[in-house]
Amino acid sequence: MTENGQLLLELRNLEKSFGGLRALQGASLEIAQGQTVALVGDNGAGKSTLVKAIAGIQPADSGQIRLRGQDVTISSPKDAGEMGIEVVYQDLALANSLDVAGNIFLGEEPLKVKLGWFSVPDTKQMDAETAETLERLRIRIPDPGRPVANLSGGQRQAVAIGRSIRKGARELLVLDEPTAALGVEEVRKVLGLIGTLKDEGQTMMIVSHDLEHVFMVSDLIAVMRQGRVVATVKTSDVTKTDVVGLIVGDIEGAVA
Amino acid sequence: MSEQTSKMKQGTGLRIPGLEALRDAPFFNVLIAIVVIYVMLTILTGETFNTVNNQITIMRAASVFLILAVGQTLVMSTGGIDISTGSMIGAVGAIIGIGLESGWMPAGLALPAAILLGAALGAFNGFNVTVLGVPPLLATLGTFVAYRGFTQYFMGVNLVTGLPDIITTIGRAYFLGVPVPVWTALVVTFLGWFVLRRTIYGRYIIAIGSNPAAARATRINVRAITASTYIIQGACAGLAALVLMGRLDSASAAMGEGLELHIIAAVVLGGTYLFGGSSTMVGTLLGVYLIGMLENGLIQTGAGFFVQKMILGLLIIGAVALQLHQKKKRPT
Repeated sequence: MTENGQLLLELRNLEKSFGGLRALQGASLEIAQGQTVALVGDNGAGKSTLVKAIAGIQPADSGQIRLRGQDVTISSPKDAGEMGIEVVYQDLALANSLDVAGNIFLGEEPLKVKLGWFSVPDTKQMDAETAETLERLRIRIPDPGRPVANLSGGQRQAVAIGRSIRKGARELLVLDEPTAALGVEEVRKVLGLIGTLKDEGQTMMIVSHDLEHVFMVSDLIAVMRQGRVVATVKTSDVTKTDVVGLIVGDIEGAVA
Repeated sequence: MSEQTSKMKQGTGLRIPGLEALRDAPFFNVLIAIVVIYVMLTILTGETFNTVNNQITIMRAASVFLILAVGQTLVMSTGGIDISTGSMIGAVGAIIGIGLESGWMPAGLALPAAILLGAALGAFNGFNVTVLGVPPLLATLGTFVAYRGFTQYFMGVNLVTGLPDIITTIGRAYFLGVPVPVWTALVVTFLGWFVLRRTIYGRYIIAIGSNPAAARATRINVRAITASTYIIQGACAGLAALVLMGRLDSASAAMGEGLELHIIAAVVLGGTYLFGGSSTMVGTLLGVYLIGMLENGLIQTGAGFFVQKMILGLLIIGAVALQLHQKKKRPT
């Protein structure tokens, strides 16, 4: 399982309940350095809850998270960020009225004048670093000074990913439905971007409904059902039909 | 005007970048409205509207509104609203007024005390919105009633008059031919503009109003920042209360009644988006002027107080409708 590299993240028996609803019922998962793991499952299988637990937005009620063999507690997005874990959310990633640099640096602006909340950001440095990040990820945005509301879906997704990369997703980058609601050409660009990141050795977890995209970019597929990871399979070992069988429960899971 | 600009661009290749930027500015509508209504009022009133003295009168009357509108612009940037401004003015006026009259408040402390008191009243709004999670409209509707109730309970039918010189100076004096309240309001507006456009605080409130979930996923302390906009609005109300007391040389339980709608109308007319995420301090300045000008002009054309109220109410509806319509065309 760790042939691609060292074990990076281990989730052990994560549980999370919302009132009577048991969203996570002992979910366990391992991700090795440099791997791209796709997290699939039906609606309500617990994918989002698992991501929110890793991101620190809704910490799990019980269970263990280990990062490089160390037990860690992730109780806020800040904790996750400091550990080098960044999450790109499907819809809630960008502030529409701010420009590309404003979004990429949101909450972590370099400062020209330090005055607490009333600090003045160094917009020149922000623009320069933004251009650098976009260049590195081969993202082309003609007019980065405009509010991101004017960008296409794929460009917005790219900005959101660029933001996480710049913030330093040095350990893990989690992408929540990166290709949902995008046009064909846009999807191609986002998948290309994921490929670029993969070549750079970025460890990624991709939550997706689209099995075609999952098969195009992932090394491993983790299948969730009823709050558990019921199977982790090598993408090259299985067919789409197998994965669908695992998702709906026609095939009993076996952790590879 | 927009047709003209595009004709220039295509026809002669002549580009006027300033004009194009102006057309895209969120306060473009209010600017056009000011020009049109200014010309109309000048014609309707004969000679009395378009004079320097009358313009100064408009600005002096509008200064209290402008101070409040700056705070309201910040609150609205986050997607909030504060309709308790008039009642905060009443409450601050009552406490400071009674304090001055009975002698336990030194005159020199009245200004800082008013601002702090206002900030405290605003902090209560901020607490209710961010910690208790009461929707801003209802949280401030609650204090709109409660603060006014407190004022009436505390003051009864008393009218405090004969205020110390320092306070009447704040409300009535002139500096370089321009009333002190106008200077005060302009300084507050500049500070508000600076905070909104040049600081990370301004970015954060816009981000919160534009996409609260995105803001929450960053290191931004969304609760504290949101609450602070209500505190600033309260501090503005405290300052405005003192300016108003100074101008009237009195404080009564009815002070500030009914001005909250003015403020909201001015900010929305100025181009700040009612549901947050997009705001303009220049627009707010223009919005306040537009309403002040309308009021002044309507009085001069003989329209009564009730007609003004009708027009103001309809103006808010119109401004919001126009805003929503334009939002659909061009998402920002």
